[in-house]
Amino acid sequence: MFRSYDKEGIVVIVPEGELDVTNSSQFKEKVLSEYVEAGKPNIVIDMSYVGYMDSSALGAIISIFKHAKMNGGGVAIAGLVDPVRRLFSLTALDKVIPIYSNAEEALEKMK
Amino acid sequence: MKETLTLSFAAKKENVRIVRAVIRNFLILRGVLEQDIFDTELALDEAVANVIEHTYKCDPSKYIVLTLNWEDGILDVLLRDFGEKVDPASIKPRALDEVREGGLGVYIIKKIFDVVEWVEKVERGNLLHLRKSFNIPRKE
Repeated sequence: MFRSYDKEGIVVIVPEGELDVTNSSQFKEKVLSEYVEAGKPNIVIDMSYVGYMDSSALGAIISIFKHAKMNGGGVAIAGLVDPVRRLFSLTALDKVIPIYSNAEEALEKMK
Repeated sequence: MKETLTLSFAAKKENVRIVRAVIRNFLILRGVLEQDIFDTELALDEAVANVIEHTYKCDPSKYIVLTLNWEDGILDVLLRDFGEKVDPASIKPRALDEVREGGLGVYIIKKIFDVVEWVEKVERGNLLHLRKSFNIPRKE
């Protein structure tokens, strides 16, 4: 579902394929239990390899964002492909969660 | 020319992906632009997921019937379920400044489709009618 790596205390999550009603809930639970609520609340979600997502995936990201904040961390989104970027602007989520063009830029800003 | 396609499927979450593939290809064959295809695929995904999760509460023994009608650049979608009656007045999109997990699906459906209405004449279950007009580029 996703791979991840740690860069100076910030976890970069790299989901692949489609994030929708079939897998968003699993994605959220895994990120929360393995990182956000396990002492690693600073997260970059690198969306470069996600070609499609729906509102259930947006909900998962909102939940990860809120839990990260509650745990003293933060979330940034990176590498949105065009159609997926449109979903963030359509729902104004791009005004709530910081969005960067790639994971390197997001990591730099989160340091 | 009028074209119609009907699909009957079980209320399983994975079938949302099949619905997306169907609507995507239905619109590609009619020359619809990629941005409009993405939008329509997304909004229909949300409508079908709502039936599966909320009306049918993920009961895979229940069925949904989806009909796509196309004529002169206008897509009419009929989404039929046989679950409990939905009260259209209770289905409202949430305000975008409320940052919470749910409620974005209805907002997306209403933002993308030109018409979103529950047809009242069905006795059992629900019939959702969605309509969207497209600008189809002329072929050179």
